[in-house]
Amino acid sequence: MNWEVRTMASRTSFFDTALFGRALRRWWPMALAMAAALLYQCMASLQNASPAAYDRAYAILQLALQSPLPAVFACAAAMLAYRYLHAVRDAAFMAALPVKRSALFLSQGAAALVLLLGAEGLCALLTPLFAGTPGQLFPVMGRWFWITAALTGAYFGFASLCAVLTGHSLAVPALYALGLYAAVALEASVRTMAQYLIFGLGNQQWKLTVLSPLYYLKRFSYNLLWTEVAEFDAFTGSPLRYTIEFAGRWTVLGYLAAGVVFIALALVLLRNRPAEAAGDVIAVRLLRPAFRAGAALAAGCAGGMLLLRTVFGYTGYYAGNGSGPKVLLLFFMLLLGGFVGWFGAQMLLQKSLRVFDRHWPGYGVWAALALLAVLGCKLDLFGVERSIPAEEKIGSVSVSCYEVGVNNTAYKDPENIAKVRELHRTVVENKALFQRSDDPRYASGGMGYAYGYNPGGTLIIQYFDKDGGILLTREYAAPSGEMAWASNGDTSYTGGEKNPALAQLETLVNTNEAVEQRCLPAEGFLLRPETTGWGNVGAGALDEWGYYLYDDLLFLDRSEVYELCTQAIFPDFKDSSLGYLRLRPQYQQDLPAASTVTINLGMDNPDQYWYWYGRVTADAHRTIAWLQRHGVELDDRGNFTGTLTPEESEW
Amino acid sequence: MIELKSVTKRFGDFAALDDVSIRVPRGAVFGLIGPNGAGKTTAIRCITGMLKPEAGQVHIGGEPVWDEPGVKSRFFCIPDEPWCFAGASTRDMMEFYRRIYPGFDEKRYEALWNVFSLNEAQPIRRLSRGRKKQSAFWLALSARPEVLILDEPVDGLDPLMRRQVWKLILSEVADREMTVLISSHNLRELEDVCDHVAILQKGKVLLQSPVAELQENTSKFVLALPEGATLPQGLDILSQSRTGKLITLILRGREEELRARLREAEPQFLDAQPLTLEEIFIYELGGEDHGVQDILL
Repeated sequence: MNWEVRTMASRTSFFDTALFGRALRRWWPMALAMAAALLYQCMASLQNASPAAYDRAYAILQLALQSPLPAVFACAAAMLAYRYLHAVRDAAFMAALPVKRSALFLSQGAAALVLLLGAEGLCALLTPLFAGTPGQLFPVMGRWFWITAALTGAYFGFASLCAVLTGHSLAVPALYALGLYAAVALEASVRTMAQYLIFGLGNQQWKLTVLSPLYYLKRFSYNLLWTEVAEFDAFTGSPLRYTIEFAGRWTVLGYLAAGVVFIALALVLLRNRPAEAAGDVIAVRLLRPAFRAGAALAAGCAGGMLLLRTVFGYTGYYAGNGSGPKVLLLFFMLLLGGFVGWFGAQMLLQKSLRVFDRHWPGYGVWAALALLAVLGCKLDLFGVERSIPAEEKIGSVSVSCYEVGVNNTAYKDPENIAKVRELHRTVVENKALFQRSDDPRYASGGMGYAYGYNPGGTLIIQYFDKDGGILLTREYAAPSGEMAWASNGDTSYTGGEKNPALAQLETLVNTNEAVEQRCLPAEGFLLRPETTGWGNVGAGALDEWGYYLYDDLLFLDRSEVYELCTQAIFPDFKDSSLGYLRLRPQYQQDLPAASTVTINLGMDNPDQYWYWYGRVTADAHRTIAWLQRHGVELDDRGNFTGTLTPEESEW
Repeated sequence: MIELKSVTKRFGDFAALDDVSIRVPRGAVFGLIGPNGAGKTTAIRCITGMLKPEAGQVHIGGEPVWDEPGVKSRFFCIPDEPWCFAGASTRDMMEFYRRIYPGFDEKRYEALWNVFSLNEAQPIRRLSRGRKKQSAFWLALSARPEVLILDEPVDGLDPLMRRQVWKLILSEVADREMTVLISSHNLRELEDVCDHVAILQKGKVLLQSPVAELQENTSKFVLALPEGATLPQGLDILSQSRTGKLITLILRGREEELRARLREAEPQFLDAQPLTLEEIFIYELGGEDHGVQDILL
C-alpha cells in the first residue's frame, strides 16, 4: 500500500466534520439545559405580561434584549469547546491529531454555536405551543430568535477570545465577566474621578456603556424598544392599535459583528499561542504586560473609587462643585487600588505570592501616571474646564436647570447661541462661587451633598453640532442661594450671594425661542374646541403683615380655556409678552406693589397633556383684555384692582 | 523518517531541549532514553506538533510537522496516560479516529478484538490503567500509522500482554516498515525491542547509535593470567575488576580483535561474555554524569 497517498491533503484545512460531529454528540445536554432555561424564562415573562398581544410581544422582545442567559450559556459553551486549550494532556492529544489548529478551533466552536442556536430555535418553537397561542406568538418568537441568536453570536465570539487569551478554564468566565463589564466599570470610575476633579464635568452622555452589552441592553432597552400607537380613533383620538418598534437592530447587528471580529482575533492569537501556555492565566505572552497594566488601571480607578464610596462615604454626583474628596485622598486611593491591581495581576501570572522582590519600577510608572492624571485634571492642564465649542461649529445648544423650571430648552438662533456661550464663560470664570461648600445648611455633616441633592439647581449646557451630534456637555451644580428657585412670582429662599450667571440665564430663558418651547404645547398637540380643558384665574397679594393672600376669581370651562389659549395666551407667548420666568431669589426681586393675577391652565388629550401656571405680566395685552372682558378686575398692566377679603383668603 | 535538526525548546529560562539532533530511520524501533526531566516528553511533544521549537526543525518523512495535518495523519501517538474524550468508549474513539486517520483499517480493528478482548462499549475512563493502554494500542494499530510514537508504552500491562503488544508492533515493523519511537526511562524494557537508541540528558543528546553497533564495539572478557603476566599494552579498557585470579574486563573494540590481543598474554582462562545494553551504557557513559545511573534504576 502506498502510504504517501493516504495522507490528508487540504480537505480538513479549515473544518473537520469528525470533530464537529463528535462535539455535537457530546455536548447536546448543554443545549437541552439552555432550551429549558430559556423556555422557562419566556413562559414566566408571558405570565407576567397582560393578555394584550402588544404587551406580550413587548415582554418577549424586552426579554430578548435583557436576558443574561445567552451570555451565560455562550461562556459555558466556549469553556466546553476550548477546554482542550486549558489542560496540558488535552492540548497534547489535540495537537497530535491530523487537524489544523484553526480547523480544530473552528470545528469545536461551530459545534458549540450550533448547539446554542439550536437551543434558542427550540425555545422559539416551543414557547408559542406551550403558551397556547401559536398564531399570536410565532412571529414574536421569530423576532426574539434573531435578536437572541445575534447576541449569542456576539457573546460566544467574546467568550472564544477569552478562552484563547487564557490558559486556565476557570479564568475564562472571570475574564469574560470582567470584559463584559469593563467598559462601564472603567467609565463609571473614571467619570467619578473626573467629576471630583474637573469643574463642570457631569454625569451625562456616557460613551462607553454600549461596549458593555449586558449592562447597556438591561439599562437602555427602553431606548431600543417601545410601544407605538399604530392607529388612532379619528374622532376621539384614542389609540386603536399598537405596534412594537424595535430600533436596536443595528445595535444588535453591531454586537454580532464584534463577535465575528473577536473570533477572527482569537484565530490570529491562536497562531502565536504556545500550547504549553495551558494552565497559565494569560496564555499569550505579548499580552501579559497589558494584563498587568490593565489590572492596575481597573483596580486603581474602580477599586479606588469604590473605596472612596464605601469607606469615606463619597457617593453621588458632584459636577465639580468642590464638595468631593480632597486631591491627596483621591490620589492615595488610586495608588492603593493600583497597587492591588498591579501586584495581584503579577501573582496570577506567576502563580505565586512572592512577587514583591521585583516589579516595583512598573508600579512606580503607574504611580507617576496617576499623579500626572490627578494633577493635570485638578489644575486643568488639559483645558477641559475652559473648553467652549467655537461658534461656527455649533448647530444648537440645550440649556436645562430643572430646579428653576428650565426644561431642556434648545437654542438654534445664533444670537441666543452667543448668549449661551457668554453664560458658559461667566460660569467658568466664577468657578469659586459654584464651588462654595460653606452653605450654612450643609456645613455640618454635609448630608445634602452626600446624597447628591443640590437645592440650588444644576445648570446643564449641551452643545450640538450641525448634524445633531453632541459637541460638549457640562453640568454646574450651584450651592443653594447661588441659583434661586423658580419664581413665576413665587419665591421662597432668602439668602446667598449674587451670582452674575443668574442674570444671564434669566435673559436667556426669556428669549422668544425659550418662552415658546417652555410655555406652548408641544408640536403636534391636538388643539380643538373638544379638547378637555380646565383652568382658573386667581389673585394674590401680600397683606400689611407680610402674609400672602389669594382668592380664586374665575373658573374656566372647556370652551373658555380653548378661547383664552387660542385668542390670548398663545399669541402672547409667541411674542414673549407672557411667560416670563424670574430666576432671582426673592430678596433680589422687585416685589409687586399691587396684587398679581395668576392663571392656572391645563388641557388633556389621550396621550397628550399641557399645563401652564403663571403670573399675568404687564406686556400681555391680549390676555389682560380677555380677562377684563370676562369680568376680572385688573388694570392695563395686569395688576389686580379688586379687593381681597382676609376672611376669604388663603395664605 | 523522523528528524530533529538542532532543535531548541525553552520554557522561560529553562532549556528543555538544547540543540538536539536526532534521526530515526524508516522501519527502526528507536528508543529515546533518559532520566526524568531529560527532555524526552518535550522531544515527543515537538515531534507530535504540540510544541513549536524556538529553533531547529522537526520533520517526518522529510516534511515539517507543525500544524500540518497531512504529516500528522502519518503517525499515531500513545502518551503515558492514554487520552480519550470524556465518557468515550473504545468504539466511540474508533468511530472518531476512523474519520480522522485516512489509513484507519476497520477490518484490522475487528480482527484485533480477539487479541485485546476488551468491552469496546465500556467508557475508557472506567478501565484499569493496563486496559486503557490495551485500548490505546488497539486503536493505534488499527490506524495503521507509518510512525508509532510511544511514551512509556507498556507501563501497566501484564507480562503476557506486553509480549503480545510487542509482537504485534514488531510484526508491523517487519511487514510494512512501520517506524517506532519509544520514549522511556527504563532501559531494560527497551533492550529486547530497540534497534536504535539515543540518550537524552539535561536537554542534550549524549549518545545516538544503532544497538548492534554499540554491542560490536564493546566487549566483555573474563580471564585468568599466569603468575607475573600483565595485560597487553594499548587496550582501551573501559572497566577492570578482579575477583581472586579472575579478571573482568570491559574493552572498547571488536571481540575477535580483542581476543587475539588478549591471547598474547597467554591467559590460563579466557572467555567472552555478552554485554547487556545496561552495561554498555554504564561503561560508555559511566563517567559522564550521575544521571545515567538513573536510567538503570
